[in-house]
Amino acid sequence: MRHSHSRTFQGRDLEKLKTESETESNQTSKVKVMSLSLLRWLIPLGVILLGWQCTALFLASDNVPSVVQVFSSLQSHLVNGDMLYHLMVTLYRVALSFCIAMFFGVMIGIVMGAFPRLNEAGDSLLVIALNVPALVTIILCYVWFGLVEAAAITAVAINKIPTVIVMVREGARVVDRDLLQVAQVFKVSPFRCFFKVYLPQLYPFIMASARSGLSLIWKVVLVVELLGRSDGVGFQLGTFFHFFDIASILAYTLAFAAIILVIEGLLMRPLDRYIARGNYNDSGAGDNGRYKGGL
Amino acid sequence: MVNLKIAIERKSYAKNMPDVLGPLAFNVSQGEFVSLVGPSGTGKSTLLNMIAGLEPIQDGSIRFNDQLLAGSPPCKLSYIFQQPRLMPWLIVADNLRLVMPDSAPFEIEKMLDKVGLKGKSDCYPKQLSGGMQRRVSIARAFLTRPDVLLLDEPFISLDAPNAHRLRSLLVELWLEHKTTVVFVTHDLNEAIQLSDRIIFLSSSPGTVLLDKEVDLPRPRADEDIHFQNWKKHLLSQNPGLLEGQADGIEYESFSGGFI
Repeated sequence: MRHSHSRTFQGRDLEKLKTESETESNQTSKVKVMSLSLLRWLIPLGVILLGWQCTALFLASDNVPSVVQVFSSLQSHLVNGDMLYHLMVTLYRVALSFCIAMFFGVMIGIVMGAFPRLNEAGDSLLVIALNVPALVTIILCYVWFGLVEAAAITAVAINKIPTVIVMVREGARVVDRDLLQVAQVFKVSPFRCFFKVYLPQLYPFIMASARSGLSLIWKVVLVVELLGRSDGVGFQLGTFFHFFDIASILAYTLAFAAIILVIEGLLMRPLDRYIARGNYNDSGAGDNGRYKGGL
Repeated sequence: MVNLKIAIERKSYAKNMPDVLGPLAFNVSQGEFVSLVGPSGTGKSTLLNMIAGLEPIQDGSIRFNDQLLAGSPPCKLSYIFQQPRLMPWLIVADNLRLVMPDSAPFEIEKMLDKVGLKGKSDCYPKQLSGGMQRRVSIARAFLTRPDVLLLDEPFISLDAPNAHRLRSLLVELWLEHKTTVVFVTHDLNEAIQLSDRIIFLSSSPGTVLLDKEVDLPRPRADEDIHFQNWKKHLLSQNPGLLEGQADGIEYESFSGGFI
């Protein structure tokens, strides 16, 4: 009797030990996977930087600064210059015009997707708007509204709105009528129906347009700043261009690219995950779905 | 506390399409449980959609308590669709809350418990099996305590014990709230077990073949001898009933009564 007791006890202990070691090995393997993915990330970056440094040393030209020069320029601009101020000004413009463009783009996209006749009427206009060069809208806005902040923001937003409309419209066209019927039968209030039944179906499309929008908008913002503002990254780049200060130009580019990467990581990815909850969109953002299993 | 008066002349989805529903009229008195039985493609779902106000009525009328239906029904109506139709981006509890915004969490838990989904309120629909999703949709329909309940083959694809439990739950709800029920099914046993009246529909375009009262005492079990006799009697008197054909009704199409 006692014997069997102790044996089961031992057995349990063994099992415990086993699970403990299993979790430990799990953790180490997790760390391994993490460091592996980090390595996969770092190696191409290192190769590029190394290639750049070698080329710069080989050419020994003022127009091709080395990695070291660019980073020292970045450091001096950050510490002594007003790089942070200019970065923030540009970021503010990007954020504001992004929000305006997304808001109007989503609204018009929904309306065009929901009403086929309006869609037909607006389609040719949309094609024209999509193909007007960014430079033209910027110049026209500056000429008509003056060299003011509002003109700059408007110009950027106008450039982005058509592409948002096109993507959201596609989403609004394929909205699931069956789910809307549920809302209709159970007399869900229009407000709740819009936010709980209708809009979630568009999230993947809105997300895709936000993704592409961010990259487009910050490029347009730089042009706007170059042409008609006296602060921001674009303005600074223009100034450095006059002095042929290539190291500073690259330093500013790197800095802003880093900011975009951070936004992507801190804002877009979590949003992706939020949208993929319940894993209802089987494409694109669904890869990050919590419930898809795997990693 | 709602009665229905249904009088449809015809219904088709487009001008050049064949009619889905032919001339068809029946009443459902308040608190009555009526089953619609007929072969597939007879427009049973279309009829339910029309009652729910999802499908326009072309020729004819549907009245709720003598009030002509135009747009959405003038009472609390629940509809259990053939597909569960849950919002995939809402957890189960939020799917229920969508139709009853001011329901307390314990009410939702209680309803989920009733349909055998205790502890699943935080799951997303995709995490549940097809049968479980169906039960969520049933819970959603029951939660609103409807005056009129429309069911479109709600218990297919469920395992027998769960189907049995949900049938009893349906009867319980129906007795509790005096709900007026229109129930579409293929399963004659199910119809006999549950309904006060069974309306048999012909094959397309759907018309009423037979309007039969079920005068068996409740609760009814389908292995019961009276149940079986009643069913046998019904089918022997009306051959071809389940195929949507019956003697005494003339068909324009030559396929009717053939073979």
